Amino acid sequence: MTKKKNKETISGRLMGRVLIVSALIFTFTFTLFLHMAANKMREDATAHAHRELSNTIHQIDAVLRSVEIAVENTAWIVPHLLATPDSMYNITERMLHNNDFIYGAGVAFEPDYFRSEGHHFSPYSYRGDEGLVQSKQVGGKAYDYHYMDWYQIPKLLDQPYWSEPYYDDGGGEKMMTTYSKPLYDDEGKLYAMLIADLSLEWLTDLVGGIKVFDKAYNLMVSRNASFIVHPNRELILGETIFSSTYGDTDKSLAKMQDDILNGRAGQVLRDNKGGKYFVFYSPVETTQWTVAIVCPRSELYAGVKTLRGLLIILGIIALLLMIALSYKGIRKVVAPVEEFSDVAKKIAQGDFTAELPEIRSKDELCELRDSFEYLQQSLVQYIDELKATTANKERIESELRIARGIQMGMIPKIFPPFPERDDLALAAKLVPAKEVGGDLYDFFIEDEKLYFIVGDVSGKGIPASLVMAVTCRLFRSVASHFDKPEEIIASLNDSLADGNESNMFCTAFLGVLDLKTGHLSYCNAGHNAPLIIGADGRVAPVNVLPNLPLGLFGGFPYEGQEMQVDKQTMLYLFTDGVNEAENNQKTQFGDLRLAALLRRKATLEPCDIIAATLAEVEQHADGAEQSDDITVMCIKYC
Amino acid sequence: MKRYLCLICLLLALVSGYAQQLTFTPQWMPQSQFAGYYAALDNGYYAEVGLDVTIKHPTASYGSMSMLKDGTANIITAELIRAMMATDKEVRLVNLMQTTQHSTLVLISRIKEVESLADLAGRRIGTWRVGFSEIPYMIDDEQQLGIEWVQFTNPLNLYISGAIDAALTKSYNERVHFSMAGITPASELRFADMGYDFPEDGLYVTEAFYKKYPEQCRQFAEASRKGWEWVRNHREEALDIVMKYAKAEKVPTNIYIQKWMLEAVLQEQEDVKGEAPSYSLSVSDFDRLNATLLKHGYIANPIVYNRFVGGKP
Repeated sequence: MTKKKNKETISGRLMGRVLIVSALIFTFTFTLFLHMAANKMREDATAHAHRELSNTIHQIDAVLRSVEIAVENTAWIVPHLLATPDSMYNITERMLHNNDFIYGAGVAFEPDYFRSEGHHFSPYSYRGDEGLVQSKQVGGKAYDYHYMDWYQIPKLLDQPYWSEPYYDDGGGEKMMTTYSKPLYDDEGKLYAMLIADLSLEWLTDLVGGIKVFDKAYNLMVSRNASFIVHPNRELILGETIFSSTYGDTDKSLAKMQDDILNGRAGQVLRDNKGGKYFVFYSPVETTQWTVAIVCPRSELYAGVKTLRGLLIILGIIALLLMIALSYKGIRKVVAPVEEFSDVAKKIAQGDFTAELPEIRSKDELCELRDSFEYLQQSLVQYIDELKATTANKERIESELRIARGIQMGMIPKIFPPFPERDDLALAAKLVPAKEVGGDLYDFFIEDEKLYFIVGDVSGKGIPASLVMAVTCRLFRSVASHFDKPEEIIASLNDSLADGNESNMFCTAFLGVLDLKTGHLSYCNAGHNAPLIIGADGRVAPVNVLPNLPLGLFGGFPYEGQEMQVDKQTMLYLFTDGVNEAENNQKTQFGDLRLAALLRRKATLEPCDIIAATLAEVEQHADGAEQSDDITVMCIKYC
Repeated sequence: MKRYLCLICLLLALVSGYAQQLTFTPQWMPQSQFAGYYAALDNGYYAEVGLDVTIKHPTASYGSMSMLKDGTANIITAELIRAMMATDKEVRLVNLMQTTQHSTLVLISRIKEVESLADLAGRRIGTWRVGFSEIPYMIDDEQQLGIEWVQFTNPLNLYISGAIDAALTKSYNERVHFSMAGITPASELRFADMGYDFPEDGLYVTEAFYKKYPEQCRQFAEASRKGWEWVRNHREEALDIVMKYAKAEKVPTNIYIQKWMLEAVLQEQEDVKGEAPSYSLSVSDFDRLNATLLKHGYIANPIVYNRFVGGKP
């Protein structure tokens, strides 16, 4: 159960990836879309705000221009009436009568312009109680107008000037601005300033009335950034748009400062303590005062917020739909893979004909099905072949087992072979490397003579075993007909050489021991020399002529040898399976080790010496596979 | 006889119960520069010592020195240079207390890379109508820079309109207004860094008044000092008091400006930065300025410290 829970599935992984990639694409697309939508909304809002600002500013400019025109239209009269200073009152009063929107008008003269009027002379008319036009001379020690902005700045600039708004000194708490036009005499020397005061109370309603956004508010600042219009009236002419942000090094603030100071339109995003605000601003052309709309960012992007909510819901629905559809699709594709997995298991269990899933599509799965089908067919064919091969092998092995029995039956295997004799002890052993081998030994006694042979057929296995069988049979049949070993050997050689097309050969040592005299006649045919183990334990090789192995050249003149065997002496014959036995390091057992072994075991009986030899050879091999047949024969003459 | 004695007793009682009326006039309209005096008045420190103090502010065109001379004001604040010059030429003054210990004069310019007044030779520089400009004038005279000094009551709009190329400001006052208006000057020069670090604001009476009312003068100075010390320890409350006076006089200002100004003023009062103010005029500062004014002919005769501070003949 747990295993199933943790099991990873292709469809699960594919779904995971599809889900991640889709979610990323959705998120990216939506973010991009929202970003673009937000930009568009901001652009629209900016355009809208600036349109509204522009309308308002046009209205303000219209009023200000009408004041400028009123002053311009009056200026020409002043020089004509300079002869009578008091007539200036007529001019200023007329200005008020003719222009309802002007609050006050005056002609402020340069210091000591009229001797009769003193240092300060500034006739001024204004709208008093109930709108009645009243006039007075306003200059004096306590009101040294020569140092007022409205007088000093146009004088220094030599051009008309709109003063920054200020509260009038009349106590009416009216916010005013003054338009001043410098008046020059014929010599181009300034002699007076013609001024018109404009109350700015109407600006509050006009600017405050701009309605672009629900939660936005509007304000207006002078060139020195003081509030002219602000929802909080206490701030008007008391605070500047920057006073609460003094010390703030924000770039948006620096841009706004620069724009306001230089009368440029623009918009910035400000991060105030209360949140983020967009400030759209645009200057009044005439005075370069700035009208601004302050709108919470949240309101501007309210549409984006709604859109975002909608997109998130749509996105989730789309994702869920996609998951459902793609799951179905992926399952359809992946289900056969699971079926293939089951088929593979069945095949593993031996059901090579398990039914494969039906694949109608011509895709990789179809190829997989074809491969499986091919696999099934191949497996069936292979298994059939394997069965035949195995049966064949079993048969051959069985035959080999029989052949081994036959081969072993050819050589004497009852020891001691001559228990009734006390002058001879003989033991022999043949250990074939495979089921059947090419080594041979044999012996028999006839006329008190012991005929014996030890041989080794070239090669191994069945071919060698056949030659061995032939050699053994020939030895038995031929030996008693000849007296001398070399004759027996020559006869064997001729028989074997005859028709030996496969060039098989056999080394052999053949001896005839006269049991009465201890005289040994022998002939060696390419076999390794037997060893003589003396009664004193000395081990020495028998002096042998090499001659040629049997079966190579018919008619070869084999040469016999003779020697006298002492009582209690042992004759030790062996094939190269003994001295050339190899271990895993390919080190041979060796003649020296064999000689040493025999010296140590010299006192033992032949059968024990053979057992000791085989044991030591096995020890030397140390598990390494026996590569050659091993044959040992030991004859003790007593 | 008994009747006369009763009458004398009654008169004495009346005289002793009758608080001395004093009119105090700061150099300018209500702002944090004078916070200590407003605080002393509002906290009753003057009343505590039997002084009935009225604060009467000057107008833009009629300064505190004029008011002191014509008797409208009894005690004024003035800058040291102005007070020494007045003592030399107009009316002998006595320094009751020295509040500002450093020069707060800053020149800001629309022109870039101004490193000395010489870089503004032949240009228009705005300066106060009511004084404070003696040092710049001295430099102009000495170096023959031909600067056109334009007197102002407020430099801000002159500067913005381009009517002047530069303006003299006080670090705690006009300079703050420029920042509040969003203006970053192209250049800025501090006179204190140029070797002209002279004390500024102090409390003054005429020598005649001092001789007549020495005790009241001492009491006023002591109560004012108490006022300043209270301000130093109660800055938020002090600002509220300043704003109250500013509002009453319809001064177009705001709490941000006043807060900044108060911090600057309190710092300029410290003889050594971070240490408690001495509120007294240092002899060495006085001697240095005395010599400078004499050299440039701003005063004809050296002023005697002991007479100037404490009214000793």
